[in-house]
Amino acid sequence: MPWRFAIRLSSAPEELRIARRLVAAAASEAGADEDVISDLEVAVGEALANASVHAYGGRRRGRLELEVGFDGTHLEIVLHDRGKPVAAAKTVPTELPPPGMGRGLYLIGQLMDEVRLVHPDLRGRGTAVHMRKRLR
Amino acid sequence: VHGDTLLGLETTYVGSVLIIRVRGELDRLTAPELARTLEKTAAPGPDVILVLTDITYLDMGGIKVLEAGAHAARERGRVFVVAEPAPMVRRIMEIVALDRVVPAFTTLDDALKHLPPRPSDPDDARPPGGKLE
Repeated sequence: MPWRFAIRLSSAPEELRIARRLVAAAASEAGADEDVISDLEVAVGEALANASVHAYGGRRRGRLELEVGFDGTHLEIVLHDRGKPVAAAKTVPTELPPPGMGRGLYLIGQLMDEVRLVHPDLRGRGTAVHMRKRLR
Repeated sequence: VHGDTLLGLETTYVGSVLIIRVRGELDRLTAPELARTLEKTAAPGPDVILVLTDITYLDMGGIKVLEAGAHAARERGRVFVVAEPAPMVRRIMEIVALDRVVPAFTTLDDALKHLPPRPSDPDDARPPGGKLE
């Protein structure tokens, strides 16, 4: 049975942790294997951390929205922020970059089946990170 | 679980080798705790084995602390390796090529065998005021 939900959260580290665990729980509910669940949790955790650090400069009060949907085979996750651009590119690096040059994005790309960056996302601001992974 | 107890660190010695067992979530928030422990216990100069069996989450914040630990050990001419990595830990180490800097061993025994013999090994653990040069 397909389902979809969205949550709003702030960029406070405690909330980022809750959000990544929520995605892990959703993937588990959808019947994903443990290794797929941990891939998803790390990818989403890294995307949340990127948004907090790059879009909001590490501040606790940046607004984030996380959408999670399951269509019966794939989990689709979209993370929206309203801050500074997380990265200039529309895609994640396909080769491992040097430290400090987007290794987190590269890691997300390796853990997910598809990753797309949309920016600006909202009226000239923000970034949306679209992530997709087959669960079964 | 409260934020302060998300990461568990247990340090022991086998001979002169420092073994740190890391449990729980090693992320940007908890990684500084491991960095402090490494500074306190590894800086004096032992070879270091990190046992990463019970890690449940690892992100780039944790990876950076492992890289820094490996770098510091190399500067001292010491060995810094990982033992018993959880499957997820091994996967991430491979993706970000950390396994090229920090060798990962399936068992603690394998890791111990990999370490070069040190003058103080194996019986008289840490020599009192032993010279480092």
